[in-house]
Amino acid sequence: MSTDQAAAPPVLIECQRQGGIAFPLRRPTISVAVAGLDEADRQALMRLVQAADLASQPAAFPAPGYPDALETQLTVAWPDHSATVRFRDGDGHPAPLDELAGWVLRHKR
Amino acid sequence: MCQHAGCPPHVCFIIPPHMMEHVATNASDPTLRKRALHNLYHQGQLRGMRASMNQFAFAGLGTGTKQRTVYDAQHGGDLPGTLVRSEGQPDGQDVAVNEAYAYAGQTYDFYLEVMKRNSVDDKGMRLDSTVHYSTDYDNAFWNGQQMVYGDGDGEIFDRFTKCLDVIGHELTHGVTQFTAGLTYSSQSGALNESFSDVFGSLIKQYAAGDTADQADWLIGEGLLIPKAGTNRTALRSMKAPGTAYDDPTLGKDPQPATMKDYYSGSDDNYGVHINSGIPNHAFYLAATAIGGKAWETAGLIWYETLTTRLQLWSEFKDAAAATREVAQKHGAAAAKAVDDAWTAVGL
Repeated sequence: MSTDQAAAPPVLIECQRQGGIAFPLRRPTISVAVAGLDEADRQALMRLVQAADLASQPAAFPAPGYPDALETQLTVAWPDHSATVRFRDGDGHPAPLDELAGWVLRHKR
Repeated sequence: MCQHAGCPPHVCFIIPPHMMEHVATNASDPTLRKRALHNLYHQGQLRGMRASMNQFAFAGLGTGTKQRTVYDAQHGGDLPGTLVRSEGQPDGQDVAVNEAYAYAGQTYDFYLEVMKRNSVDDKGMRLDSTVHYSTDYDNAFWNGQQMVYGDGDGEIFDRFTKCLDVIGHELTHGVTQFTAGLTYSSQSGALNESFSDVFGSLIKQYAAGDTADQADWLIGEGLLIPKAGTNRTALRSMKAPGTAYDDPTLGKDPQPATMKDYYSGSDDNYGVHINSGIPNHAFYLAATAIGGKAWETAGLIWYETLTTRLQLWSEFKDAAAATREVAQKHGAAAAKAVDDAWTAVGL
């Protein structure tokens, strides 16, 4: 992860899912604006963003095409740039990406 | 780029399949076995060599030897997780474990008793399931080696082990992998999905003893948590595609029933769960026209088609032609029912 990325907090996290056995169509994008979070949530999110390290991930993981795999697209936006990664069940992506996506989806519920 | 004769451009496997099979069968290290199986799966896909999977004996269990294991991912993403139940052990406190074990057994029994098939590979392959995958995870999938089930989010979805037809659906992806190998995209992917729905529904009907006119023809009935003022009946309806749910949070069931409403977008691997409504509805029409228990005639026609007539890139017209041909073995009435069913959906 770059020094800039480590130092500056993100301003927005977005998560979108599609596929899986249940709902084939692209679901609405879930957005979390960091400015609206309380300090505890902001700190938790910062730790998850750092662990997910989007800057070091490929834009998309090679999809093995497993039946019913769920696809997730995560975007983290900083004041002057953003990073997006797309991954699916079973494609070998790092667990912190799931943890960040899960946090965003749960937070908006 | 690889210069080996026989390797497609940019793709090369240095370990030949027979060596990989040996490692997958005999290696003492489970990680090595898993890796070898994973490689075999991808070699088979990329080379179009599903024989590398079909001929693979795995544990080589005799017909009728049911072997199930259930693992607990403990809300993480590592597979298979911690072993929590093996074949022959009694029910425990964990409902998801009990369901994954029991419904995998009912699926095995259906394939053995009705289709004379010994597990998903027809060679007695052990049925592995992982429950409690990830957190608030709204999905179940087949990863080429095993079933994986989430607990649902508790608001929209209940646990994904809840429905026998969903578990039958996932295991049928395994049957397809070892037979037709239908590529998971566009029409071949929609056929892959449809065969999983067809046999998922038949497994449920067989367990209940339902005739075709008694069956609900729903997939995942009870998986969606009811909410007042919305329709959360099921994931899909084979009888009436497009009517399984309609909810402000979820949207409306997008499945078409006929080719007139065929989805041509790129979402969902070019509509694998959407256009599957068309062959699903054809099966429903054929089975109800034939009458009686759907697995006794219509199910056999579809099973023979899946296991002997279709291949990686088969399309709807191929499935229609093959089932029409196979149906002739079952008498004029069955042949007419199948022909009429495909005609009704526009094929």
